[in-house]
Amino acid sequence: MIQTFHVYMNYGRDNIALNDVTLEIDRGEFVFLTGPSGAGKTTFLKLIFREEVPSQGQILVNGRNVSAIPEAKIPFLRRNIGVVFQDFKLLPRKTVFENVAFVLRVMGIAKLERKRRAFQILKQVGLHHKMNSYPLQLSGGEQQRVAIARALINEPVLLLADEPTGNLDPELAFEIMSLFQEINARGTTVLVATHDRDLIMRLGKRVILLEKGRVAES
Amino acid sequence: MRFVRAIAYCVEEAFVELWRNRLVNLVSIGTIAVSLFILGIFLTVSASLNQLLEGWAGRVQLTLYLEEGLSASDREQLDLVLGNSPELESFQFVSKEDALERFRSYFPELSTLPDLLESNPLPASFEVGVAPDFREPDQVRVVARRLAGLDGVSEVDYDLLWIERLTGIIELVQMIGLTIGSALAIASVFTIFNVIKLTVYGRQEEIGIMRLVGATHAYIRGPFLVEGILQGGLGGGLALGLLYVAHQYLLREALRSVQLLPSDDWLQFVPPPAWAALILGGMFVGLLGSALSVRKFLASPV
Repeated sequence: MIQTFHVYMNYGRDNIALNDVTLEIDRGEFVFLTGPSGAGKTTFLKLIFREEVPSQGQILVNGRNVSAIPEAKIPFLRRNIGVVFQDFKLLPRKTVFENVAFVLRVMGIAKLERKRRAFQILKQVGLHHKMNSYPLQLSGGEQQRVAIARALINEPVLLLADEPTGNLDPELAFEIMSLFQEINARGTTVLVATHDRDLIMRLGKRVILLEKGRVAES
Repeated sequence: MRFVRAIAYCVEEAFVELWRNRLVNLVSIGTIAVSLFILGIFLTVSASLNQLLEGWAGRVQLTLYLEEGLSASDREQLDLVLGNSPELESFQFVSKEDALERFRSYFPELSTLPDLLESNPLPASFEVGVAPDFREPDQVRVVARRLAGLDGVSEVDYDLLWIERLTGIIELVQMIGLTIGSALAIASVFTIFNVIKLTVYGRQEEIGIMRLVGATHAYIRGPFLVEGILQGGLGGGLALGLLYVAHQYLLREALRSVQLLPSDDWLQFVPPPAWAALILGGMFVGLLGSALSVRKFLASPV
């Protein structure tokens, strides 16, 4: 699903975020990406859905060279990748429903169908009663779950999550992980960046450890 | 269906944004309204003057004074020539006696004057109406020249002065209107450009998020363009409303007070095609402003 070949990412001359990263994640895998803060976890995720382009090296996602995708096609790549951002990135002036169903709307899906699917996915994260609230009316944990619901609504082939349990208490964190596992069982490849060791231990999945931009363990 | 939904999305978002930033948007709607209003005023006045001109031109009449002592056969010949002239709509013979009769009825206090002269000094004439296709001042002059050259015609008299003056005034009014109107239209484009720029800046983060979750460039741009079109259309509508009020209560009154109004119905309100032109023109101005702004400030699609 994801293959990287000697990927480098520099922000300016002295700021090297990724240093010769070569790795492979198979279709249907569930992988944790871990490492200390500043190790390059977020950068790695950004490269996959092409929020950033690597300074050097190649990245294949679902068989496509991400750097070579023409700009006009990038939205279509992103529609197939669910992303849970560390800072949620919810649209503050849209309701929970509108946020979650945004990608469906962009895809031209009818409102009734959008409602149905949004309700379903929000129910799975336990927020179906807050469809009409605005993000700023929700707690951090709730916003995080909205972000998760948005990432999952289009049944992506790949789910990227950046510290998706950072704002959740352990019980809820575990619930979210169960949800991810469920999604994974249905065929979605899942890549979760986290430094929550407990969570990693509990799930016993493959772990990629990044340290100072290098793959220390895979 | 997908396309219809995309359009619906753009329109809905545009309305939401329009309402959300209503104060700023009022500025751009107002600028467009003012420029189209001023353009409209000039159009109304020039259209009305044109109508007035047409009324006058309908009475463009030439008088062909005939030579003294023209024989009956010469007159018949002239009759024939005039009858075969396509530039003429009508002609009527006025004999010396008829002319005297008219003179007496026009100037009763001078009615004894011809008697003092012993003979009738007034010439016989033809009064000629010009056909509608030949009523432009230049054409009238050509017709007059041709008629003056006919055998038996001593002089051709006509009055084009007023028509020429009015034509000049209409051209001036139209030119002033177009100049001011287009200057203001350009100002409106810039206003919209800047208002949309502010909106784009204010929504930078939101736009970034939309892109990250898979919105295409067209989807992000669409609402801004529709917003510009709506601003322009609303401006055009407002201009039309103002124009109506101005027409009803100001222009007519002003012209009536200076007694420039021959009858009540000549100062027409702009006709329906012009309503459409005002509103469509506003929409175009709005679209232009927002398109330029979006092009400049939403350039990077990633």
